Amino acid sequence: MKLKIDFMAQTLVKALAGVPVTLEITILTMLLSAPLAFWMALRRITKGNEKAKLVRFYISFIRGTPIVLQILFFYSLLPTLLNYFFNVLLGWDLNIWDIDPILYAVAVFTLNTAAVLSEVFRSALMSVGAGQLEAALASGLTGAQAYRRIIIPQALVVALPNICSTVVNVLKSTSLAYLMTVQDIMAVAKKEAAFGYNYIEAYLVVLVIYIALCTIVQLIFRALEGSLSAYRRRLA
Amino acid sequence: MLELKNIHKSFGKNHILKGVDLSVNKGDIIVILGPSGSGKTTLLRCINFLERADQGEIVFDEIRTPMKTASRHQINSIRKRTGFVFQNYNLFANKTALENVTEGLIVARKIPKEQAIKTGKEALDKVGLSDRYDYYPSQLSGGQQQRVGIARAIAADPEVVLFDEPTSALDPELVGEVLQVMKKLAKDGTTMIVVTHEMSFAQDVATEVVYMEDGVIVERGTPRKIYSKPEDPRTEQFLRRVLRKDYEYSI
Repeated sequence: MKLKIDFMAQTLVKALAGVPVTLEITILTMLLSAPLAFWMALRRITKGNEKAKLVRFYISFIRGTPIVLQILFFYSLLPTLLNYFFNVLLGWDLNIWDIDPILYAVAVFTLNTAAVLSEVFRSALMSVGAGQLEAALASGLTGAQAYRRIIIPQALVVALPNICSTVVNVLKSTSLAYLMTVQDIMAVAKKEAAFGYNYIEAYLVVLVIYIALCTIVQLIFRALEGSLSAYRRRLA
Repeated sequence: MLELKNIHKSFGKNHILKGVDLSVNKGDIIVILGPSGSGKTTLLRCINFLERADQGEIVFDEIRTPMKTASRHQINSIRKRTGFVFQNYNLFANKTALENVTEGLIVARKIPKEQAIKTGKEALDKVGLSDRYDYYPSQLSGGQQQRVGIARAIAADPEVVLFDEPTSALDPELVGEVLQVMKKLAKDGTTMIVVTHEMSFAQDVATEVVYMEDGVIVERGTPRKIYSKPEDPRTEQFLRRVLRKDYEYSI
């Protein structure tokens, strides 16, 4: 067996065109799910919060179902739901069926990632300990000030390794977006491979691209960790 | 100046405080003694609303605040008039010693940054840490951390400073430096309420010793009176135990 190097080079160029789509979905997903996840984490941490139960149910629902199923389920459900809500109930004449599938992908991945991230945030917030919150309150800070200035900066440092894992996971999961007809790296490569049954070459190219992307993400997080955790360093 | 009236607090079915009254005058150094579980720490935390009392009233210079229903605003104004020193220091780990002290000044009291830094440095000087301004808590010893904690509590010049077992978490050889700082504050006229097991501190510094047991104040008086002629048998028994006059317990 011989690898078709020419084909691989061509596929690489074409698949690279899918990188912006992959990055777009990943970044939008992270940006949208982070505030949602933080809100859910706070609901679960605060004592006697009524919404905690709801949040817990949501998280266990997301964690208890395969992501492929979530994608297929929501991709079937969301357009129908939106159509019913806007066009049937409100009587607007929107073209629900023309919405860019990337938006659906972002919606599904956000629903999924918010659940995962909220557990990351919750464990990080709990690691800081109630004592510092009390000390901040005793110093006259409000609860919000205490969180913003004392608790969150420390929790973030604790959470970074897990946030990094989450980003990498989302980035890899976006390859499933081809199920929603999104033209990302994976979809492009699959299409190229199908022409002449050059699957091995095409998958090799995809593999290299994902490794490269994930490595870059990890390098960024390593740098972030180094700069945010300055206070943890002891003098030698 | 500060008066607590009929404070009650339960945790679930556990009735911790069963009606405590305490009055504090300016310059007083009140030391609260008592066995563990007697409610000393809870009482102190209730004053600063770190625990919400179920019943009772706090009167601060004629301003009466019902403890159970106090609003956020009322709580904040009481917190700004008091300082709190924690058993486990509870320093902000992401802030330097100086930032720990200035945080409340700048963020809560809106004092201009330069002035806050000046005040913060003075407070750290007072506790003997003028060479540790820029150290993070993780770079300081326990005794130094607790002195930062004291500097943080006194920086805003509060009317009362509350000490919750400030030396209990320290290695024995570090207790002295913290007690010394507290004695200096006492000499400077700082009003303090101190929960402690340091009998010598109570004896040397207190203007009033309060003995608590089972959620009530059993006895109060000058240290001389409490130590030499305790009236209540419970006080006497406790003192005998902790002062090790009772040699049954010696090893």
